[in-house]
Amino acid sequence: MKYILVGNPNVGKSTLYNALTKSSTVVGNFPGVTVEKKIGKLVKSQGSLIDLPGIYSLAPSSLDEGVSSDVLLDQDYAGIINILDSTSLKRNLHLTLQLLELGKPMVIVNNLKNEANSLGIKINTKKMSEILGVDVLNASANTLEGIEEINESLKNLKTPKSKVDYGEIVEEFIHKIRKLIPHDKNKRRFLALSCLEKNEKILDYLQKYGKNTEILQLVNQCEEQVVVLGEAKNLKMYLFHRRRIFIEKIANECVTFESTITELKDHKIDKILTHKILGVLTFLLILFTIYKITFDLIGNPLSDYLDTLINQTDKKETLISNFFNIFGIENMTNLYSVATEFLKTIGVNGLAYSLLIDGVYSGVGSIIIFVPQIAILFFLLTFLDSVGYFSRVALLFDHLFMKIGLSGKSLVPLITGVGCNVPAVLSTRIIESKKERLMTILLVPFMSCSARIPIYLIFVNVFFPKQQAVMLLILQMIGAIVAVALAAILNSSVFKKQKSNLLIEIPPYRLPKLSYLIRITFEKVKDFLKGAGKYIVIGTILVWFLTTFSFTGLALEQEDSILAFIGKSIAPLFNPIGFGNWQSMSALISGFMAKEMVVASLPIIYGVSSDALDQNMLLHFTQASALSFVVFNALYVPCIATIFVIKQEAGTKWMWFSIFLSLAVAYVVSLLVYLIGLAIF
Amino acid sequence: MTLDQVKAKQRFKIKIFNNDFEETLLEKLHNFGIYEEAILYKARENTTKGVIIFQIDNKEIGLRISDAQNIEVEII
Repeated sequence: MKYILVGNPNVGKSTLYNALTKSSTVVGNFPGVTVEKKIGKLVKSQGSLIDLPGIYSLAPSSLDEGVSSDVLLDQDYAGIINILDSTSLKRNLHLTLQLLELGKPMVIVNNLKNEANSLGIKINTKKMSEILGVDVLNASANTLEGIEEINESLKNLKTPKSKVDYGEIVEEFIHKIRKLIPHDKNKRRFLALSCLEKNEKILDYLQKYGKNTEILQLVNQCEEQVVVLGEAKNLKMYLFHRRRIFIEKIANECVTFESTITELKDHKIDKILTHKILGVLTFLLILFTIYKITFDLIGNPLSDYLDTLINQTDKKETLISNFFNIFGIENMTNLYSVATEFLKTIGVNGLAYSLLIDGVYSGVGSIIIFVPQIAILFFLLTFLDSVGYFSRVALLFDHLFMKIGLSGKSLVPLITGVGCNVPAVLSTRIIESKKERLMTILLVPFMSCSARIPIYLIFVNVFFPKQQAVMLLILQMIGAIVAVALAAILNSSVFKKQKSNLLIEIPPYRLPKLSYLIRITFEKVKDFLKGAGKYIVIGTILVWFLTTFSFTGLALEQEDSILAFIGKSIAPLFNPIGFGNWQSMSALISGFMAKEMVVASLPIIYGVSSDALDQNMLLHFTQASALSFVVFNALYVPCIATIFVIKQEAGTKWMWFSIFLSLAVAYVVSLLVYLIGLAIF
Repeated sequence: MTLDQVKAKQRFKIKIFNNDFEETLLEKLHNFGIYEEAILYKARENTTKGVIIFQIDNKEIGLRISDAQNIEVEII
């Protein structure tokens, strides 16, 4: 049995989903956090719950709204949980009325009861239930208040009947359209009304009956008659108006206010955070603090410690050596010595030993040590998102984004891209304008994702040890700067003459629980390792194979290997930007699979252990060429997964455009960086 | 007067959306409960460049000033 959770954006849908399923869906304080449907098993009821992206209406205006209409229309489900924001019931009820017209069993949950109480709003659920014909419950999902009652209600959901009075003319045309769609028995009224609203999604859906021409004729006739009444300038507005009258009736009979207008508490904070100058300075300060904490204050010491446990080091006393000393075993100072000794003990040697230690262990080990930095970055970004800061940032930078053909809404996918480009591309679905969405998709790959961090860290650590935080901030920012420049170019060329706008809800500040932040960070790191893990294991084996073998058999020297051959073939192209050698080329080729692979492949390509990598890099790069190499990595195609998602979201043509764009931009910017580097260093 | 001219602490009613107001934006405004005759409130002065912030049903909404100039309102 499947139930569907539907509601406006930012009403606490994901929080309720987590409470009912004990799942760890990411809860954001920004409209449009759920960009794809999620399915979880209900804890106290039988069946599963589908969490849909937040929608304002069943007539989709953006792609995430399209996902919700698809599910409500096509899927077989037992009932709907419609979640509303108690603090702004009238706005939420427009969707509720459309859902009631679907004729499916339903329960209505007025969420955010505590916030409503603090604003002096009281809702009479009994009266509301009488008017709407389904159970209506008050709840506060974040404190789990009302969860028991929702579970209880799911056992006996009531099927509603449409209550809105659309007037004789519309009812007559609903009847006529229903006759043209004989199947879809239970939802014919909803389908007919959607046709009258000229809902393109529904008209597409009804094409299977081959009656769309007749339907559209009826819609036009209905519109002509309705406009004469003078209540609205078109049919869509008329239907909206009639629902509005019904909503006013519900509000008058069921909702009481102690005060009609309430001063929101967030204004004092917003005076600074959304101020045209102070806001930007605060944003930069927050960004710098994040990088200082992530890469300097906490992240680095943790990574160094992990390094002593995983890789070969000179350190004689570690947690691992202490553990083995208890059993009187010496020389086991880290996991590397444990793994090598174990393989030797069970008789693994030769090529198999080389594959497991030089290939898989070195590759995976070189990534694992960066997990602390990535986890801290995820933690801090999740905190800012949950608090409600991202909506303010979208407002703050809108006037700048407007100049390059985007709106502040594009900023959220771009910031998400700092974590991972894949969800960032998916989160562009919250952008209604096709032009803004496509432009944002093309810009996301330039945002420096967490997979690129190990590359920056290792090179900055070796070549710029005294300016780590500043250099890392510059490297993270270079993608953003390039993205802005590119947006301006695209806006005045490819996407010229297409309008953009901004209408955004500013959610109240909400302080997330520490336990929630830890849980979500853990889930994100787990997803990162799971997603990257398969590429790293497959990639390291592939790189090991290509470096171990030549076209004629075992490669005696790395230089004779298959990878070296491929690298040498394209290396001359990269001479002008400072790293035209086969080793660098091989690392870049590995990076196409996943950016984590660049660092993971370096020890294999150089044929050294992870701890000897630093010294080896000093032999192959100068400061200028190292910087050029890192910048190229910051800007060229992020990974196969991102390419695949771009193809899915924007189509094959734009996927190829994105690939060539990123390669060209990476080459040009690296060339500039290299030339400047030669002049400075 | 138009929406962008409303001052802080003023309540106002939407009178009409000018003819050149973008249709998709109009639909979005409706979704937020902002339609002709809707009563809104401007709680604070503009702080962010190019954007006006107003309040409806206890929710704050941000809209570009260039679009706000196309909405006729009446102070109540």
